[in-house]
Amino acid sequence: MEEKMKNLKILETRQGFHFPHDVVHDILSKVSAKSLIRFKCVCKLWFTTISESTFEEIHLQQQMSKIMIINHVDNSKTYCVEEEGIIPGKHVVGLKSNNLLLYEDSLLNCKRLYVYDTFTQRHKLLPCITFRHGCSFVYDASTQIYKVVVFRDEFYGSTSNTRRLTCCIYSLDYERWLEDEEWRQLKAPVSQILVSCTSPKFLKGILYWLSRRSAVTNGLDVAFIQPLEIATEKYQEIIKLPYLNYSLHGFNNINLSEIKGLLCLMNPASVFEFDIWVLKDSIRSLWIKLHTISLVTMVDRPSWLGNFHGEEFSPCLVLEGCNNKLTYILFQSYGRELHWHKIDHRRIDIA
Amino acid sequence: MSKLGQAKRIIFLKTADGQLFEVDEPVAMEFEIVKSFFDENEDAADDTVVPLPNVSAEPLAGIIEFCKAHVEFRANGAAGKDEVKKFNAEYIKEKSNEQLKELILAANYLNIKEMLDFLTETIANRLKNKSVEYVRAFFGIENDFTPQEEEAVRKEYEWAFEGVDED
Repeated sequence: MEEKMKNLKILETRQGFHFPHDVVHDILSKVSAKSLIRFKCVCKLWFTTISESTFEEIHLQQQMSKIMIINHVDNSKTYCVEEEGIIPGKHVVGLKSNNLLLYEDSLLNCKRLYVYDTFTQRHKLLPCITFRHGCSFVYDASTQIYKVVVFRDEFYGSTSNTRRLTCCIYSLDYERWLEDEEWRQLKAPVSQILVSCTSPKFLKGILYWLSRRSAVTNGLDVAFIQPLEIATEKYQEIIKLPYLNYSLHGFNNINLSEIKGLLCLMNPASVFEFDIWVLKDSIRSLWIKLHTISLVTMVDRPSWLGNFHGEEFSPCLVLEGCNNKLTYILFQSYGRELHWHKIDHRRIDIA
Repeated sequence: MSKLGQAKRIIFLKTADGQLFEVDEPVAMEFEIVKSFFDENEDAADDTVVPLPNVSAEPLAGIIEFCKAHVEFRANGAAGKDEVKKFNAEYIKEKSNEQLKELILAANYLNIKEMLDFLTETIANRLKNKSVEYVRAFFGIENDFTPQEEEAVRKEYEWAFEGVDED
């Protein structure tokens, strides 16, 4: 008996560890969708496991449970944070980057920004910055520096009654947590007077946001996407939106998100229809419409949802299954509750 | 002796490499396999030694440390609090991948749900952004795809292979 065990032990050491498959299954259900798709290549057994539709559902449920609700120190506010992204929304600036979280407190006039280290539970107050819009928290892997990117109103002209936006960046070196930096102002892209910047999305080293610039000639504002490369802090060519007759009511329920590693844009096409686009080619501003949610045929439509305009339906983020079959979007209702909406998927090839 | 005058029961566990562990009863009962051993052998003598032929001393010591802390957290009503997260983070910080694998195999054999949950989550985090080759080495898996088959899968999901950490 003992001899047999000894042999078994030797065999185990030689062949490496043998994880029971239910443990592997459990581990895989906790890995992000992108990694899972990559891990289909590991071996045939993994390919089969990951491709099962029952697994896809289990995995998505697991990912949904990972979206954390984080309470601020005084418990007066709740922040919703996805593992790797932001849930934009009027009261939420929280964004998690590794173990750091950016949040703001909600004093009436000066909303102060803090970085919270979820590991050591330290808070760091950033220098005050006034007239602030939009906010994002990104990690520059090349320099290992965290950056907070915000926009602030700048008043200019002889009477200072003309307003434009400037981009400001704060760098935070994790190793030098206690040192205070200053906000650095980034020069605006040439000849553009930005009046609105919202819905930032950080993807592959580039921060994208929805912008509007006031048009001098015909009085119509123009909306577009402005990319900024984080490592070099250089603006890139603007990206046109996938539709031309954009109604200029602001960006209340339009958001940028990520689908299959590509930038995606979610916006109401009409009162009854909601479109999801992905950016196929940023240089040519080539978009593909991935999905349209119709109010009439929407599965499990919440009873309060009457139309896609206004603020009733504010999409926050997209959660995809690992097999191209299931997709959920998280949206915020008027009462700020969060809802998941399952998109019935027709398989669309965007490759 | 506890305040009630009852002896604090000690459970004896013997590992595959022959080491004897003396563990407080509430901690040992976290191990489903030990619990069912005593459920099935109700009249087992107090000095019964429970054999654990699939677990060696090193991971068992680590598991006892973890479960002991968690039993205390529960007793103090601290379950789910930041304190626990902090303990877990510290606990796992210094563990190498090899140690982690030993722990997970042992926790799986002993059937400790809470710890297993935590360990699988930790491994999932460590696999984040890792390459296919890294994962194969990590799990000791041999690639059974032909180069053509593997290439086909890689091609179909090209985007998922971008931005992967270097091994």
